[in-house]
Amino acid sequence: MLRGGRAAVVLAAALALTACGGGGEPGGGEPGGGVYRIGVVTSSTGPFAANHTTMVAGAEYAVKVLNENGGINGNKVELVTVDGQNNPTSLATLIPQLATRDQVYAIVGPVDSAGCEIACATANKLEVPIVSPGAGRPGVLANSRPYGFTLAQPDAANSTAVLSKAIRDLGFTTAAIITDEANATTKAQADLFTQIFADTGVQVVQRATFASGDSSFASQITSIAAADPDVLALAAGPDDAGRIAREARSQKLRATFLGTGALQSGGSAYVAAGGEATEGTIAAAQYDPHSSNPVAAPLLEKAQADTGQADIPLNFAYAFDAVNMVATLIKEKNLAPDGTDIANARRQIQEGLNAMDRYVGMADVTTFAEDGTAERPQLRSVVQGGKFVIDKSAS
Amino acid sequence: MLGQQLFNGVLLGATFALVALGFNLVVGAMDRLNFALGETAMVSAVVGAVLMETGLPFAVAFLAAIATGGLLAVIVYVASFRYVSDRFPTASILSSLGMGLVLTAVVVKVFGSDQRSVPDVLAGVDLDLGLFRVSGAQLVIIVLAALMTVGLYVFLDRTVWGTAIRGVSDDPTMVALLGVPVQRVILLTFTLSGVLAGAAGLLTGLAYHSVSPFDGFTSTLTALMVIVLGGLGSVTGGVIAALVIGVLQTLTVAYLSATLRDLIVFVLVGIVLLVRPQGLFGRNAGVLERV
Amino acid sequence: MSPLAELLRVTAVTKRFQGVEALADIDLAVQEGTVHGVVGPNGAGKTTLLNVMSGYVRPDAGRIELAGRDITRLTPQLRVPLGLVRTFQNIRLYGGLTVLENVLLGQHTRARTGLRSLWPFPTPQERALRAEAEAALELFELAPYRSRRAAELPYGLQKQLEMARAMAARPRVLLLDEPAAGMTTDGRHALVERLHELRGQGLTIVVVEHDMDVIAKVCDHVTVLNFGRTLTEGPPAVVLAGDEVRTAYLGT
Repeated sequence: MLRGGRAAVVLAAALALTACGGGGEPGGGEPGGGVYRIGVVTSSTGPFAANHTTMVAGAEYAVKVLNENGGINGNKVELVTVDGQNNPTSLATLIPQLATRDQVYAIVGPVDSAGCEIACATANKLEVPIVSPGAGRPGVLANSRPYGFTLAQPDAANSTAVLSKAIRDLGFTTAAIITDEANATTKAQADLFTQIFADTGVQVVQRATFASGDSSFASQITSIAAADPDVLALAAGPDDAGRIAREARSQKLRATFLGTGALQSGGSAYVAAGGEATEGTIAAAQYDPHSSNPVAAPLLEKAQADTGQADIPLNFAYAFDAVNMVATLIKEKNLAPDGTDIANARRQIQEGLNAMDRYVGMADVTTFAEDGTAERPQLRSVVQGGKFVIDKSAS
Repeated sequence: MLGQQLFNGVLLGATFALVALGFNLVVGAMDRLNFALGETAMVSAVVGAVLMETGLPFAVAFLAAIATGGLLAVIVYVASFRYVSDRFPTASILSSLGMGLVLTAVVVKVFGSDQRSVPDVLAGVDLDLGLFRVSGAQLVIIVLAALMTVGLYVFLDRTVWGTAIRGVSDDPTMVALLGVPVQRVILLTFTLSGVLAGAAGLLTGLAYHSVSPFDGFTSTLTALMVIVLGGLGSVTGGVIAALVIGVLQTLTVAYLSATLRDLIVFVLVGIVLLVRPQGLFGRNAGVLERV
Repeated sequence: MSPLAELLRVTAVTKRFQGVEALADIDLAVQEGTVHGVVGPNGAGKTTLLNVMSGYVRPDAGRIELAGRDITRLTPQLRVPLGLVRTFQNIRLYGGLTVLENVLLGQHTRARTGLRSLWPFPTPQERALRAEAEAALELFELAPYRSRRAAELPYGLQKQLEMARAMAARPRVLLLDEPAAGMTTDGRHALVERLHELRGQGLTIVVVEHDMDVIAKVCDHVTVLNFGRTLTEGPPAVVLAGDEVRTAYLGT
């Protein structure tokens, strides 16, 4: 590590000499020739492989658009993508590699909380800014400050206001909660629902539990159906939630299903598992693929046209914004390309991200809070025609 | 509500019973456990679900599932039992476990590792029987499971081959001396066990609304609990134990906690093993008790 | 069909168990329609000879022919359909199955076993076989026990059932291993009568037996074995009276 560090300093000095050879201003955005490298940490295996693919596409698209518009002051932006393969050990070696060998200005990824916990902490130690386009577990950045950021707002913070408003709007008075007892995230969701129901004066008439990997929900739904609640809160992973929805409808349960933002982000799995039974499900959301924000809307429309996707996925938009946030700061602070004075450049980007207020991009408005997590729009989504759509009338 | 919960339990038990019957048939014929039977059920369920997704009627999917189960059981027999020496009774445990892993891997390779949604049947049907309601899918499950169980009884009791299966189960060398083709009887036994597992797989999929490539071993484990409780090789014991475990699991989830569900079953099976190691229905409990 | 002179023929059969010759160069010919007794002291090789005939044990040398066909290499499973069926010295029934089912299993090789047989509603052939099995139970005085588990029967009835099951395969040659062992005097009388009856129906019987009274009453021909060799053979009246037999077997 020490040798690598020294080599990096020598390399950086050499690059700085050549960059300054033209006699331009120090750190100057000399037009043309230079390269800004941004690291991307993906994972081709594991439960979030698909999200990572989406993320990489979003980052690549951002770079393509940037370079088509002349790059940053005429210097190209380049991605260096590494694959952690959902393996902590790989992440722990790949991040230093990005930092020293590849001289990246910042890192985008991983999207999952478990991956971010390791990658973000490692990058923080090396003082490289890292932005996760999706990690939303509470406390995910505890060991990663001040260099670690996530574009996702933790579930609790985002969902509470949205769901409370939905409950009031729709006049629900009784509720049941079904919880996956064998999973920390879903147990936290259940606590969140309990709090929301208490705050809104909704009576919880039945609680049912299951364990991850359980297959039959017949028993739980029978208990819930006997209490006949207005809403059924799904503190469950998207696949399980979908099957709960089907079992509920097959037992003629009339309750409206309620989910946190996690259910919305796993929306396609939820609808695939639950089919028609999921129609009308209400969940919190923090991203609208059809936002009417004057900055976001044209970006989304252009991305739709360029990529041929009807709905730009969350991880795509978040990765796009993460790359652009870094690019914007490089430009604003007039940082030199090719890894010149890289340690200083990284520090400036970090300070810029922390100071950033109401950044508007493809994913609408983002502000980073004290703990590096994002404050995001609080939206209500509802399953209509087989997918979650943002209920604009409710926002 | 208790009535409904009991019905839920019986429904769950009915699907357990089919897999357990499959296990017991093979135990009878060969004194061996086929550890790939759960995966056989899973593959059959996936095949059935895929056919239903293409819009084929449930009856066709069901027939395809039991045919798949029968065929796979024969393949498992040839691959994991036929050529394994009698001198190493544990070898077939490993070879059949291995076949189970292969089946799971093939399904993951072909269909992916995601769980697959199983479409509903008779979605419009909803019978209110006072004590409990029966949905269309539940009706299909309970009727088919009962038919297959009764069918197995009648087959074992009434047909030339059923008698031969019970003969092999009683004394395989003796049967050969009477001219009964033992290898063919064993092959038939495996086929039957696969047919039962195939049916169980798709019916379970209907009950759970989905099937996952990793369901196989869970089915195997549940079936093992059932046959230990009911008595290894006992057909009637297996059916009763399956219903007991189904009801017990359902009531535990309904009135205690989901996390206690397996624990309570394990404790029950543990107690039975201590008090009655031969299971509730031991080997010599009557003619049809043993296959 | 015209009676064959020799229905079952054993030629120069030798069988060794761990170097000891259980059978040494045995020749034996069973005439069709006769009852052929095999006697000798314990360890003379009687049961081994029966095992070799039925295919349970494969000889080291020699050949077995049934109606002129070499069956030396056939498994017992394949000898049954050719008409060679046996019983056991220590009874081997399906204890868990009913009396009737034991007989039905005895018929297995005669039942048509195509796909149709998997269907539980009986074909006319299956119905005929079942009727025949019921008749056999009457004949062997087992009808009252038809639904009892075989293991629950008293010893004498188990022996009868074993013979009934063997007969259910419609053998041409019936091999009996000590049918009188453990029987009461009444049982022996009944056995002798039954064997006469079966012989009267044209059945060929090979019987290994200790009871000289039974042998004398039922056999047309007797072979005496001692130390795995043929000591002598001939009609029972002659053989059983011979000095050699008395010395080797009865004289002690």
